[in-house]
Amino acid sequence: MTRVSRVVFLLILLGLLVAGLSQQLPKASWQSSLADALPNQVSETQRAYLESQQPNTQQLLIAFEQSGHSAGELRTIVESEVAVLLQREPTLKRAELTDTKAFLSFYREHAGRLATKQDTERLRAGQFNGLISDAQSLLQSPEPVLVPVTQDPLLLTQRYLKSLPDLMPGYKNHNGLYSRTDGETVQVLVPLQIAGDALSINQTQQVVAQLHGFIRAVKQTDADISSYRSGLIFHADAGAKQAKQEMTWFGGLSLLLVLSVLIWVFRSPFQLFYTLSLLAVASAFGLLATLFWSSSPHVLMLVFATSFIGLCIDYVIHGFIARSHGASAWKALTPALWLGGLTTIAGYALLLAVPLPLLQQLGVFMAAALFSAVLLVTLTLPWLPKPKQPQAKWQRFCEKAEAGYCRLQRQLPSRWLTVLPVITVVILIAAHASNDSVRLLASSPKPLLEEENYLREHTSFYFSPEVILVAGDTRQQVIERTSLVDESYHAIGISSYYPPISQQQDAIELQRQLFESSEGVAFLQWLGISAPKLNAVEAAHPLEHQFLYPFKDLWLSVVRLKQGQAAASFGDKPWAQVFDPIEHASSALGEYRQSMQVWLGVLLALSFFVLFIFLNRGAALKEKAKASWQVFSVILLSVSTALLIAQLSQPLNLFHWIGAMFVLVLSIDYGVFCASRLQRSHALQAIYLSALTTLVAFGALTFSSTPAIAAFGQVVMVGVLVSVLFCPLITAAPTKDIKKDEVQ
Amino acid sequence: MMRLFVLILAFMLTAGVKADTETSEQALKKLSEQAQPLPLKVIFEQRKYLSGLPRALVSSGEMTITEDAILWETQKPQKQSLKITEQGIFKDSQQTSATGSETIAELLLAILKQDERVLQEQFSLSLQKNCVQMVPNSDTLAGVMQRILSCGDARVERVELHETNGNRTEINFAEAPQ
Repeated sequence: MTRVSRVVFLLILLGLLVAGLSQQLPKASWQSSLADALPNQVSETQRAYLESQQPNTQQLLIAFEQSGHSAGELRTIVESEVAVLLQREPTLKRAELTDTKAFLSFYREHAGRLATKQDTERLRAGQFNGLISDAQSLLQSPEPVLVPVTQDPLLLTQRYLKSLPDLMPGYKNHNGLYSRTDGETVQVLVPLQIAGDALSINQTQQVVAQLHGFIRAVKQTDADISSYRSGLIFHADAGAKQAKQEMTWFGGLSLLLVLSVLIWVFRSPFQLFYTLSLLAVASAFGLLATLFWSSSPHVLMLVFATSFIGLCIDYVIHGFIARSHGASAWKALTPALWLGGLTTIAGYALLLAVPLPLLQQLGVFMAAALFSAVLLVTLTLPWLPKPKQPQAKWQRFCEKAEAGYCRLQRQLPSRWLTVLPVITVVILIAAHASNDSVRLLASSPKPLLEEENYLREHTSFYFSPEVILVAGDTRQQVIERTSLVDESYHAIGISSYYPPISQQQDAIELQRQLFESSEGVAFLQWLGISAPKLNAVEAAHPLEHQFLYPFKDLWLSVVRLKQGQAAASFGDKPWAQVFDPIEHASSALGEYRQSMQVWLGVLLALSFFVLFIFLNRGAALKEKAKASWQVFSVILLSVSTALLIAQLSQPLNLFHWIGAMFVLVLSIDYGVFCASRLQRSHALQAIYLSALTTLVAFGALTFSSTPAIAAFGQVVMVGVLVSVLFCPLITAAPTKDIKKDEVQ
Repeated sequence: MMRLFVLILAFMLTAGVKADTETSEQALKKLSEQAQPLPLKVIFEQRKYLSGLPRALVSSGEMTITEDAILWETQKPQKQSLKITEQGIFKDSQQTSATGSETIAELLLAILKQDERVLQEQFSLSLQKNCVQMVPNSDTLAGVMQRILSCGDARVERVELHETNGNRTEINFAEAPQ
């Protein structure tokens, strides 16, 4: 290929890539919610519920406590500071938990139609005198009459109103602030709502800074005031700050170290530029393939795909070192490069068989990106001028390492490389423990969790994450069905506030019978009014948005359970189901983990057969089998040791297995390069450099305070370390030609 | 000229604030004049004017006010006993009160006991002849009650509850016979 044709070829390639991405990217709808990452078997109802609970508008709660003062004093202080806060931060507003005016107005309008179950039963049983007597009692008490008596002479709806579940039990509402006195301690709660996008990091930080300023201002008025925070926004902000700090320190320092090592070894910034360009182009190919595969890729896929960086750098380093040692070294590298690359690509392609969209997308991305990386390295590296040989000190270090390993190989018994992984695998299987709870992944600071727990324990208005989902074809049907569910579980749903039409009609008809009776006629005469004429009507309740959601052509009703209250399953009601999003997410993580385990097992087995067929082609079968077995043993040892050590600190979860996936594919590469017809010291130069950069970049994650990231980092660090320590013990294939070429 | 205008405006605003404070202080003074030592036993007559009813619903009985409770005993037209505490309104010997009744109970307790601290906290106070007018501060209470009047010179002679839905309750008190 001439220089011009090469440039034209590259331009066409890049042009196709840009055209493809510019066509596909606008069509892509990126998914970010946990619901989208969950396996396909999430039911339509569950998906609708999860979507309705997206935290774009969130509620948060701040509580203040003080001893020895009146609730009024503390409330006055808090009220004036809340006014300042709401003025400073327009995205915050008071949470409308109970809008008294709207609430009263609704029940006034529907007076006479809504009656408690007990009163309806009393009407049905003909206990007319008792009901009339109760109404008269209320009318002669000093209590205000909240409903129009002409519409509801028996004041049934006033009694219904008084029997409604209280969303803030024990607290008194004062213009959106809720207060309670418990002995000497007074507590004032400030429920707030974020009107903006709470998932925006900048906005979250700004809002949380204002909230902390508000808390400080209240506490400054008296040293005895203590405060408590509850709400996703505080956790999101703490998480973002923690991630930023970790990115700055771990990311910045490891990047600096990696770049310094690369420049020191290669003595050329051009190689760095080539590596970064190749990384960008190959990643773009991966992304394009993913977009062709799925128009709704998940952002988590990109997080998992960061392992591509390590693999790509590994190929490029091998290429540069081989090129610097001459044509024969390059010729010896190419089959190893393709074998390592294709084995890894085949492994990722296997992910397509896993019925989880996220892992399928990862498989497509990695396979496409790796294929283009190997292709571009083998195609474009020979076009570049011969690079300088790596730093002499680096070469000497690798030669010494090679000599040391040769001595070790002579001293060690030949079967040790088989025995060691078998022992670790047996221990791993025997001691295997896993925990997929998403709660273990929480990384919020301890004081924040303590404050949140304090509020959960000391207030009784937190609902359990477990809910009952009721589906129906129409709004009325779903309310009717909800009324059958919530009364049996003492749970709170829309029908706790608004009975279905059938019950309203029932109450109206039974009241008509009472008003036609002699007792009823006398009672109406005493009041001086005639019997009301009512019909059941369908209406929207002010709290409806917390319980009823339309989805597709159906309706979903959410029945909420109080903390600590568990619902049974509904065998006789196919339209109702118990759903716990946290448990569901945990089981989804468990499913992902199990799929990853199966995938790792299949890839391990496959890698042995691929290596046996393709490694050192032309060699005797016994030699090929030995080399393949040794590579397989090193892979097994690296993966099992990493998981075994990780298990000492915490039970294994999905993120450990994602780390194990990365260890496996890197170990395949290291093993293939060590077992191939490359000069061992050349292979070690590239392997050590690749391992060093990987250890620094991913090992730093071990110190992350986010358990999931730390788990991933720890497995990668230990696995790569074991792999790089044991790979050189693989028996080398003969490399006569390369030595000759290098001497020339 | 501009300076003079600003000065006049500032004077007017200060005068307004001063007048409000004075009204509140006078109202508080009136409330303390109306307050009587506890425990106290009085007889009452309640007239409830409800929207849509052609006449007032009249009831009467006896009321005993102590530091932490009011015993409201209706004699006519129907015998009934209510106990009003900060925890709610309890009918006859019932142990539990209805949801939300504690708010209205606390309010009634404060008015009938002339609890200045609670009344000052919950209402804007003003004076109308020999009545203290109380307008609720919070939206919650304002959703039910428009204003409350506590009338009398040396004691509370009449309490008027004006509800937002147009209902009105008048409770007249007289000293119970010894």
